[in-house]
Amino acid sequence: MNAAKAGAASGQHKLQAEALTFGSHDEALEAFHGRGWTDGLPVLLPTEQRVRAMIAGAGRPAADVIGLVPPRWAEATVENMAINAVMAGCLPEHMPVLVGALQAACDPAFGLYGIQATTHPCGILIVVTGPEAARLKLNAGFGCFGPGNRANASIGRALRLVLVNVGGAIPGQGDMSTQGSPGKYSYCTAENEGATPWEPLRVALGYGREDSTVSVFAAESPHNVNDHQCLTAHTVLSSIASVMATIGNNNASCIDSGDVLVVLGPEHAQTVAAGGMTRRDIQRFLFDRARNTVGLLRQRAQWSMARWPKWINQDNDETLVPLVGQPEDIHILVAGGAGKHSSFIPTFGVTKSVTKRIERVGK
Amino acid sequence: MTLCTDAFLGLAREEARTLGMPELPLVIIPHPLGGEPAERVQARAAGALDGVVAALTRGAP
Repeated sequence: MNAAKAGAASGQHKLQAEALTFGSHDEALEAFHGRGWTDGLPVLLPTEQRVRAMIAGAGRPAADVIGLVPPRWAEATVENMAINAVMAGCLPEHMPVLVGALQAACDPAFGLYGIQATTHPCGILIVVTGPEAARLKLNAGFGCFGPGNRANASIGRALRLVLVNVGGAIPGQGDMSTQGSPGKYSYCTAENEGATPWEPLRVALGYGREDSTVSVFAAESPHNVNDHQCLTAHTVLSSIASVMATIGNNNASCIDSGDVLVVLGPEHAQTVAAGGMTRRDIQRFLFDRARNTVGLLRQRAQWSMARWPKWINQDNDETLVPLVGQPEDIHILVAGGAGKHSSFIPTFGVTKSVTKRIERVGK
Repeated sequence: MTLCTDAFLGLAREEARTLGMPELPLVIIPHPLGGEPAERVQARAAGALDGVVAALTRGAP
């Protein structure tokens, strides 16, 4: 068994990773677990053949540096990302999404050092929209946050393994999250474009309809909004606003340094659209309604860390404080299957989501 | 020099190393600091003072 955390040197392009040899598959797997290279679950062993196929899927040279990953500030290359993608169970065609996700995560606006090292339980949520989402068979329907779909599960897991094995986000060492999160195993979904009554997310963000994009959010787990009762746009959105306006999330105190994500289930989206509301109207409504009072925030949350815009009157306990600095920082995504559930996803708060175009190989 | 609580010592050492400053003096105070009453924070400061002076004048204590 010639596994590579590591591919050996052969063929026309020499790989950088060290070749490792084990007596058996089981021995190799135990070694990977023992060296802290897994997320605790079994991995597919990164043999040289598999790693080379994954590199080919990226359509870039193996030595290309995609980003510097904190807190270790190590280079994520196509090769070491491919190794982790193999381990996570990816197909070679998933690589352009993984590369785009890491480019986005390494954008300074995202603030990856804080995201990796914070005590807050943020995973990195990957959202894919556009033709590539369908081509790669990403699940945007029932169970869009998992489990059960290979592309969602393995792409999200691959990014986490890169963050750990390249970036050093080892719990208690480089990842200081107090409790961690299920979203730190794998956290990847797609836009249900067929059920989106408005322009797709990527178009709202300034990309073309023909583009495919990948966005990253430093995201808590989804907070559910169950509303089987409300049948108008304003009442459904009021339920969502009530889930948003909780004082324990980071955005309650961070305000304009962060953004948040609302994921509308298709049935709630249809109800809201039937009320004549546009994407912009929804953002404005939630910006106005999802608020906490200064008096409540003063006693709780992270009052001592608050750095707020001057237009918020901190001297009046009745002042209503939004979660973000402007309506556009409440992103709206439609995803999921049938049923009257939506979700609110708070973020680390000192981070803005970043979107990159997916560069498809051979396009 | 950098002040940190003992719970974050591993991260601080690793970060200093990866940023090319393995000898960065670290002064360690007991965790936690956040949420502690003022008198305990004062006690933490008093306990760390000699270490801070030593780090700034002679390197790592």
